[in-house]
Amino acid sequence: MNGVTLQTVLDLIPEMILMGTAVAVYILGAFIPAKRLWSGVAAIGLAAAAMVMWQRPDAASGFAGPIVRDALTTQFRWLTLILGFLFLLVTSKRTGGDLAAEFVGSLLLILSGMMLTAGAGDLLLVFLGLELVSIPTYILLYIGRKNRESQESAVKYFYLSIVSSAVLLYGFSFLFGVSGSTSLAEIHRALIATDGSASWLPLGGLAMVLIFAGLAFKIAAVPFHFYAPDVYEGTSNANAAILAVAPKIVGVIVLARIAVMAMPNLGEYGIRIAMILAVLTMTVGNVLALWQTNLRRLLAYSSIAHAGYMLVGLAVAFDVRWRILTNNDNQLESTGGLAPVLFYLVVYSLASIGAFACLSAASDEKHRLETTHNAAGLARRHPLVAGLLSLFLLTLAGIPPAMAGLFGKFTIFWDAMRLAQLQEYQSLFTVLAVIGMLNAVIAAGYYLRVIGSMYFRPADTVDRAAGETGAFMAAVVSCILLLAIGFVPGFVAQNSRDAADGAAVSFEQSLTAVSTPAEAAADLANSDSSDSLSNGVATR
Amino acid sequence: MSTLLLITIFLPAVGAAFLAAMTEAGHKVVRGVALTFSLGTLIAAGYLTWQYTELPMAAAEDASSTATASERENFAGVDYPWFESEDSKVSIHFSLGLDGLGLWMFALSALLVVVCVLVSWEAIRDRAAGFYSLLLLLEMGMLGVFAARDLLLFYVFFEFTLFPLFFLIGVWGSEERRYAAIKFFLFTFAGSVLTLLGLITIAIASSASGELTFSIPQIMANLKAAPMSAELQFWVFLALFAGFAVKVPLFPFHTWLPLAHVQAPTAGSVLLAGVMLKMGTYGFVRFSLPMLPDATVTCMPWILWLSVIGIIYGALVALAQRDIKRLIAYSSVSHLGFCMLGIFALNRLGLEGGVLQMVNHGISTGGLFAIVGMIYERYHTRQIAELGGLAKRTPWLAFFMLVMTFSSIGLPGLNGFAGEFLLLTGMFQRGWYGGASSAEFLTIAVLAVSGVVFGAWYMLSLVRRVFFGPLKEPMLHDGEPEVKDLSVREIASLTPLAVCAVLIGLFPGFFLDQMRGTLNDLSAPAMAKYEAHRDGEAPEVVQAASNMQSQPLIERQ
Repeated sequence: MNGVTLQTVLDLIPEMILMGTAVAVYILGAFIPAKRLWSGVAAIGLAAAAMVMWQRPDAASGFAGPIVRDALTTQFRWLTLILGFLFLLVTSKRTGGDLAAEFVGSLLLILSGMMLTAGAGDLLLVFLGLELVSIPTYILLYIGRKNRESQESAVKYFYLSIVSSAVLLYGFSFLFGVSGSTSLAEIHRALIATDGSASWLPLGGLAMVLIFAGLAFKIAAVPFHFYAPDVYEGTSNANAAILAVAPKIVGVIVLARIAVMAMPNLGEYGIRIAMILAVLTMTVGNVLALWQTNLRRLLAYSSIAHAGYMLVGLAVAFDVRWRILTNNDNQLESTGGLAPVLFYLVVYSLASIGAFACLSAASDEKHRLETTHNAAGLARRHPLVAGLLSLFLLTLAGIPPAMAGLFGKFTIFWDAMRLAQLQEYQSLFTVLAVIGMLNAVIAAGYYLRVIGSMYFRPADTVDRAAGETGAFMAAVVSCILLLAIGFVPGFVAQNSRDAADGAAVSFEQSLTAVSTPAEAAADLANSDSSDSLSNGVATR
Repeated sequence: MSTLLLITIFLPAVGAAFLAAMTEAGHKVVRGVALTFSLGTLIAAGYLTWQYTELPMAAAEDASSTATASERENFAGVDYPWFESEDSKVSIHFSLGLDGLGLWMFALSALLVVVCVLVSWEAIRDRAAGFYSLLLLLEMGMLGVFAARDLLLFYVFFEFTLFPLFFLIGVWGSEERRYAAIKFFLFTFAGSVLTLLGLITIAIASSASGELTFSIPQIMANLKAAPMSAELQFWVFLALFAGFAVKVPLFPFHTWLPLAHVQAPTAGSVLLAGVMLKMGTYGFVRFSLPMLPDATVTCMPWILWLSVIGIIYGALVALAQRDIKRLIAYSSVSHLGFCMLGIFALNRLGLEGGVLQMVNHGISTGGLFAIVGMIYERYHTRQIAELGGLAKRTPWLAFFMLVMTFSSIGLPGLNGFAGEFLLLTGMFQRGWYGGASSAEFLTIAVLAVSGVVFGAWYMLSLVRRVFFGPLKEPMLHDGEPEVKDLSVREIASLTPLAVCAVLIGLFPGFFLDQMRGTLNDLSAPAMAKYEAHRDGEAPEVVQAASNMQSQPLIERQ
């Protein structure tokens, strides 16, 4: 990691505020066992980070040392902060009993990890960010609920997460091997500097496969999805909300930044992997969800299926980058595929948090809202919660009046169909779109079953659950945001397009702009060494 | 006019929001509010329709009348950007407007919702605010479908109609309502997701060069300049077919319909039969004919066969029913087959007849479902065997039943005759000038005529068994009031439908004139393709045929 300057440190102030708050909460929490206090402190920490972001807007300066500053970074740091507030609301009541401080601290670390990952321009920092999301998650899972299932799910997640990190790191090592640097800009430069015939390209492909495997765990894509249903079912609603959203966001961002953007001439591998995984993930997730009766398990399978839709967009993005690199007669926007995925990610995150928050908002110790059977008659007991949950489920299904979800699916498949009009992968992308659409129908089947259960079935109990106010607030806020996105999709659409575009521009700038002679010389030396290194690897 | 159109479409939504906020109020207050909003919408829609008919007519062959033609095309146009990228590569507009194709269905939707509020007046007491709120939301979706001028906006409204009806069936339906609601939703949704892919492909293919747009008029213009390749058209046609054929429903895709109809509350059945099925046929006329002419010509014989199978199959199954509502549901399969037959006869007579028949079927079957609801409210049964001689007990009910039945079987002087006569003439004409496949088309036409006979058979035998003969009523339970004839409210709900049936029956020329210009524009590409495609036909005969078609055949003022 070279080029760390004062500027780098200044740029990371929001992340450091969150980490500092977390550390303070960890330490003081041992002495002051007030439950509510720590959520408030965390909210202040988030607000402070937001203030700093507001006062020091990121200059889209591209790669600078280990970090990268572009629209993608900015948008997702903001998204993380907004989601952070929602997470705090969802967790405000059930913050782990005596371990409230530990719970809140871990949550803050996860958020700082997400922000760090969004702005990481170096493999080491990427890995650091990802681990900063993973490791506190183990703690959250462990202190979330105290029973055997909860412990089992925590252990299961722990081991699988470690394995996936190892696989990812192994992939990174190959990437380092072929390019000779850990900086994404350097990797990008080294990779596209060669023509397609370089003998080490298969090693790059291997790196692609391993990175995909490691991140597929994060986004819960088939065949690395097995943990999700068990873990979601075993843990609390709030934890499930965090698990469904945080790893998926960082996973998609890192896939976008590294696999799609930094390795364009390995796109051929990427397209195939993304396509196969997309079809498998969508279909397996949706079909298995049909049989679920536990609501968190059902939402877990639905979150797997949504990873599949995002992979469709990533496959398109791979193809677009590949085309831009190879023949330059690109008829698509350079953001094709990626911008819809980012849009979809925003909609998915809000809808998932909202859905899990609704589960919390309509249950208490006595009346758990755990299964579709429990949901019977919910419309009578909790009409507002039932209405909100219906809206979130319709958003996930992509059915009007939940326009945000429809636009999410629409933009992804619109880009796929545009690619289908071009020659090369025509039939493949059409098939992908058709399979995706048919999957939307399967998905509608189980979402409607839940809605039908809430509205059409008589209740087995008339008692209202006390519910959690915080979670209800989170659901209301998510609902308002989703409705706003549905009526005025332009704002989020434009931002996600800017983000995708910004990420591409950063890499382009890094090719041309070398600011000082000293750095240029260093870069030259670097690229030399990388060549020799890659040759070395290839010949071995 | 533009503002009025927006008001017409969103007034129901305002009403729905209003009702959703008054869940605590009793059903008496709620139904009054619902009636106010639906009447307001009807008045606005009626005024719009009247204004449209006041516009100067554009004679189709008259080149000098382009100014008036565009005035009709741009009637009540609304256009706001909705989803646009900065570089304008994707532009989805919130674009609305009325034309001759959507006009009558638009007005009919507004009318039928008022009828629905009136027939639910006493029947719906449980969670009435939710019921009327969903009904008004459904109205907004239906009005939007017939006024949308943007592919995606059309799709959004098209899908938007699903969820209110899903709840109407699932919450207020009969015993098997949950299964029926989910089956209805999934069947239609499964078709329409493929329709979405088809619509996207149309937008992409039509704007391959220059700006990418979803605007329907723009796409029509682009496609006129540069049509899609025949192969692509075929696939897109199949994708659209998936959604629209399920909605219509065309023969093998109809299995959801009887279940949904029987389980739905009366208002749901009325709107389902009266309006929602027509969204399918509307889609074919709006998109398939003008945008995919090659594929339309290729698939035409298949669709004609499916339609005629549906006509006869629906009629035969209706003949065997013991449940009145189920019988009428199957009669819808048969009647919608007639609409499709007319539309895909690919000549002006058939198309005008088919589109007119869409409106006619909405009036007659909507009325029939309302009447079945009234019978059910009185006797709590819909079994034909348990009823008989009701004309003695409820003469007004019997009167309206007879009017709707005659309208449905096409008695001359009522609306059904005008539509069926036109579309069957169109089909025979297609057979006569059908070139090589003349015999095939004539066979289809003859089979379709047999469907008319079957239709008269099952409807008249239904009326005979239920309303005539010795009085037969199921035993009343203790404390139930004596069965009375129609109340003023019920008469008020059926009268407008009966009046419309008579008006369309007596003056079909007026209704046809309003749609002729639009239909000519929409069908021109497919008809031109068909003329070109047909072989072994002397050009003079074609000319003679088209001259004959341009004369409005029915003018009986």
